[in-house]
Amino acid sequence: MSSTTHHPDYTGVWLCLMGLMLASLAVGNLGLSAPVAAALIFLLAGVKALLVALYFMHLRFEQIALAGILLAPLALFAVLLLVLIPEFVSTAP
Amino acid sequence: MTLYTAEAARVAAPPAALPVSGKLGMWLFLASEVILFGGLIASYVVMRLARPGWAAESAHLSVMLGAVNTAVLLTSSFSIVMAHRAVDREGAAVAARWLTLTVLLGLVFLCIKGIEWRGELGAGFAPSTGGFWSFYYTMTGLHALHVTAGIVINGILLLLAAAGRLAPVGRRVEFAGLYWHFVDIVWIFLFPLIYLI
Repeated sequence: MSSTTHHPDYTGVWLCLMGLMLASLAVGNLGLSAPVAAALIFLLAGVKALLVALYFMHLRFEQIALAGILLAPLALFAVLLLVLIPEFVSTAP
Repeated sequence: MTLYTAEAARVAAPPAALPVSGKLGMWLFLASEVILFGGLIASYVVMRLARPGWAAESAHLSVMLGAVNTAVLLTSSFSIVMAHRAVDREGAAVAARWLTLTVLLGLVFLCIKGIEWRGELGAGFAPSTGGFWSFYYTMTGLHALHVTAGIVINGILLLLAAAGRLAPVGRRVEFAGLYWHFVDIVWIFLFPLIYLI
């Protein structure tokens, strides 16, 4: 078994995740407009996902090429959204 | 140094930071999973933007249960990475305890999801009720299938750890953890997408 893996402060990361989750729930009570609230909620979700990816999945300590394996399909996902949104939203009933 | 001796030296001492093949394989698999969930989620986002009425449908969901499930999965990600750390440091016995917590939290997630579905189906919201519900059951159902598969994998590793047979395959706790964290990340986005907006 390897003892060379870098193990950061997982407890600290977990506490941050819990805090971000509670913050997401609180956004609805801030009186923001729906689009701004949605943007803030997804920003918080993005931060949570980054924390899990960087520290729990150790991407922070791995070769950058490993993150590239994940970034390629994420880029395709973004392209899919950008291509489909004008097509569907403009033709909404 | 001739070309032959240079090549021999390169083969004898490969770059120190090459990822282990099992880890590379898991990352490649997760990339395919991003395509799977990404396609489904992108379709939902586009349809949702085109149909503002779906916000009223999602109001029937229980934000509280969804939030509890989010906390459950985030904590299970914590526990499986602690199991990974235990494999490297404290040993298989401690890893087994963390794996037990991970499996239990996965089962709690499925139970809560079942309770939600039971309530929603009982209230007359079936997959055939409308576009929103069709997407809801498909996305959460596909995610729940992935959680189930993760529970099975984690359970097998737990049994190996409990039987003192984890040492030869200890790296697999890390690889299983990568899969479990991905399942968690999918839910991190599904929860606000379906429940909060």
